[in-house]
Amino acid sequence: MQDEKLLVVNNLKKHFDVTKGFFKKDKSYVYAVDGLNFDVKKGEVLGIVGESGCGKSTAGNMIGQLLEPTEGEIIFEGEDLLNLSRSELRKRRADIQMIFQDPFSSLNPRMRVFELIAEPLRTHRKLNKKELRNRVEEMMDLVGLNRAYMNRFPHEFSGGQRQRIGIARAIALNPKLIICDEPVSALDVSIQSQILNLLVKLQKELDLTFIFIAHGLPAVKYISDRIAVMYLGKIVELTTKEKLFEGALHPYTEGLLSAVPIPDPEERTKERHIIEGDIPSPENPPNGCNFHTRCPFAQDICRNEEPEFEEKANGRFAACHFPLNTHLLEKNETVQST
Amino acid sequence: MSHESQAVVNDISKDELVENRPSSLKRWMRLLWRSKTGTVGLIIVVIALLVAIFAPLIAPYQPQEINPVNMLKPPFWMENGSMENILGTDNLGRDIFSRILYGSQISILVGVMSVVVAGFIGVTVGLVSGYFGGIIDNILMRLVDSFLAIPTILFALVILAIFDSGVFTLIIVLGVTNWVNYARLVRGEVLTLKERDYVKAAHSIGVSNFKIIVRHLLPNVISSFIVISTLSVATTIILEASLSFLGLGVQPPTVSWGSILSDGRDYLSTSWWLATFPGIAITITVLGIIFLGDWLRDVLDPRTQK
Amino acid sequence: MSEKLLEINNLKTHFFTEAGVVPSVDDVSFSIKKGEIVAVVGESGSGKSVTSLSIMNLLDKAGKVVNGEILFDGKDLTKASEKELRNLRGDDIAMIFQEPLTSLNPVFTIGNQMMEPIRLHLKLNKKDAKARCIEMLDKVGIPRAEKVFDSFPHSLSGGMRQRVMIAMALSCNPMLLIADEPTTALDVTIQAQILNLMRDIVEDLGTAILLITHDLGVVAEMADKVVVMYAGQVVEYADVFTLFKNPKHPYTQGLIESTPKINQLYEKLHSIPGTVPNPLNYPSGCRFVDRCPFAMKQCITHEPNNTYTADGHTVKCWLHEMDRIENETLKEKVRN
Repeated sequence: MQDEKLLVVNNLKKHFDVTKGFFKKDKSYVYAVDGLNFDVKKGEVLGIVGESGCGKSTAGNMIGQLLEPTEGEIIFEGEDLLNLSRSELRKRRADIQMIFQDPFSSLNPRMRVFELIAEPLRTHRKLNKKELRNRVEEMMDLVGLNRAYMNRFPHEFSGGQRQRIGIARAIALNPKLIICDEPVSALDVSIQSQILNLLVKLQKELDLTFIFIAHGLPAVKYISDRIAVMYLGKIVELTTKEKLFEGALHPYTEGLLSAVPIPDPEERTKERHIIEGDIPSPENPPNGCNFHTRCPFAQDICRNEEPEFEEKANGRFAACHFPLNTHLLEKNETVQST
Repeated sequence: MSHESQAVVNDISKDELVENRPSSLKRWMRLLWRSKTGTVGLIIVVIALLVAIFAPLIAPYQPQEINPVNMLKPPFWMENGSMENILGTDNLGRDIFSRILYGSQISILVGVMSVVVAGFIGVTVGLVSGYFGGIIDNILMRLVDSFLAIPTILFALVILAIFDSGVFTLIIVLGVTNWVNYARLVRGEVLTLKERDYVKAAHSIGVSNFKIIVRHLLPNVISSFIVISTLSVATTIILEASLSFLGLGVQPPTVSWGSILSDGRDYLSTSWWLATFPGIAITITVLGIIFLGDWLRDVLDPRTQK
Repeated sequence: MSEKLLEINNLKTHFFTEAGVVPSVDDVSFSIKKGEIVAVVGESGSGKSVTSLSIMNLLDKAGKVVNGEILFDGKDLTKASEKELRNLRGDDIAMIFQEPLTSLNPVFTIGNQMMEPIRLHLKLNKKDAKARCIEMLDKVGIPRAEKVFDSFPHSLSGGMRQRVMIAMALSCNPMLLIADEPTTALDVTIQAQILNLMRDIVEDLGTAILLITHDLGVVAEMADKVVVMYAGQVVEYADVFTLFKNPKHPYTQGLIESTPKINQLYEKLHSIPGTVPNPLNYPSGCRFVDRCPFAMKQCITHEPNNTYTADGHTVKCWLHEMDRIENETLKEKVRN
């Protein structure tokens, strides 16, 4: 793996103003994303998991320049995207593309497949008719769509096919970074694996870099090299996939892993760490470590002091006062990831 | 598993379309045939348009042709009626049938053109207001509110009293008073459309605002616009008739259904046919347009396209 | 325990649409015993939800049960009057849905909505009904039940709402709970809580559950028996251990393999090629034929029968039909 950093995110925050009332005396905010720090290396897949409301999609939208951050830096190839002028930013957009969750709403129902895939090319490249057609055909081949359907409308396709159209749009410009925002969660199980396999194939063949956002851990695990776990607007753990599944450091990660139902009735008896309680409202996050309200190991310090998001061991980042699986921390120095 | 080797069967699925559709013309014909009122509406509208276009060929007389000998002749089936003036004549001996045929030209022209004017202003304002939001939206919507507060007829009366009343003024006046409805409708639609993922997707690709409005929003509001505008062609024809009835519409020698109706007003008790036949023409045409509009609403709604 | 609570025989539910007749449920048979959890699993369009709606006769106008019987406690529900069904609904059979927010009326308090079926079916007075509500809210693990009783649906989280729905469904001691994707709209940690709760209910109250889901993980954790549906038909029916250990239908096999397990690493995921056939135009033979790696000639032309193997394991597939025929001819040969 190359170690060149494509994207560095520093202290990224998004607070939505939800102040109610006529006089707007008491300001109140939803702390959707509250201080993210991570980087994405060239050619890797960074998975971001978390439950609804954890801010993973908001983060994706900010990196994809669909939302303006409240604070922080998004440094793409050494350039802070937030300091760019509008025209520079529009050029940059060709390098960062998105794939959306719902293949039924992310394609304009009144545009034909050709137009849909040609749109990004028309916007950023000056191609003549023949070149445009060739490129669109090439993209359709690449994602496994029959060229004969070029003049069809999106509603004539099934969910999986539509997602292929969305993928073709996203890769048409040879982007450097693709943000996949829950690209398979709206699809049926048997179709999900088709699309995941396609994404992996494209990522390898075209040497793409992905940020893969999802709430389904199995999918994230399959596709990602490193995984960031988010809870209430913050990253609680970030490490390579192998290390994460060896054993989690953060109790939330462990609860999340444990909550995923295993499709094998023989494992029913396995002991689980079910996280009790509800996710607190991001409008009013708890003091200290924001997981302390549900954490079985919470101590006084957790209630008062926010744990630092730091490297606990080689390549294992976590924000927790009392990390689990400490035996992994020591041995990790010598263990080489495979 | 027994078919481990099969596990890597080609990932690229067979491209099977969810549904094979008949060509769109065929589909429209089928949908039209299924709706009786739609069919009736279309037939009426087509006839009205043909009549308006070919009025000079069909009409036995000129609309302003005065014939003092034949004043207030009743329709042909009544005593004293004759086939020469099948719907009778008015107080100046003008042939009612010919006048209605010619009148359809102005009534339909005013109805359609004023909706085009109103639609152009309204759709533009609605798109801009809904898409950009913020202060632009605030200003434009307050403007819309103030227009809504003015009674249409009163506004038309004032304008027509100031300017020369003629077909062109009428079109502009009716257009300017009606655009607010479209602006509100389109703005509402845009507000929901712009939250759709495909608009977000276009943003993420870097498509310019103008292109997003023209290529992603406009085509998706046009169907509801068409539905509302057909219905409003109908109401505008009535509005034109009312204004002409009040003497503020088209001026002689031009005829419209409203002006014929207005001319016949004084003879209602003695010679009912003067006002009745243009009234029937308005009613039938308006009904036809409304039927067609209802049917269009069903057809253009993507949920009924299954 | 062995008494059959619900028995569905040859159920066919068709939707009569403008485009043609959609055979959403086509010859479905299975049964649920008292206190048992039966999962119906399938992808969208498989007919799993329509099956559950047919039981309660909650189909919309276009849908109609055209054949078969639904025996509940010995009574055929397809022949029951609307009044009889109304008495059953919420009393002997209760239902919970995927999205708890839309199944709760936003303008009434939780208590208000919970009391209605209790007063109707259990004939309790207001005070006793309220006490019953609070008891039920406690039972499903809602903290401060008294306060929740007086609150409105929108003020609760998704997980809390689903708990309320479950409390509501159980308040009249139903014999059967139909749960249509009860955890699909919930987060995994909340899903784990709700599944736990449902398991406890079966243990404590002996309620049978018909669990409709697309998630094989949920099936593996919850079900006693599994009905696998594809394109409106039951393709496999077996107890949960047999099904996961020895899936016989190629669709079931594909589905199990394409569900990634959290505790395994994959080079490549298994996937089933192609898409579900158009219900207006199902293939005349086996409906899975276009996507099946083992498709044979007769699969295209002839629909396979339901074949029974040991322990009530039923498969609708030519591969096993052939096995059975072979076995029988073998036996006959031996006998001769």
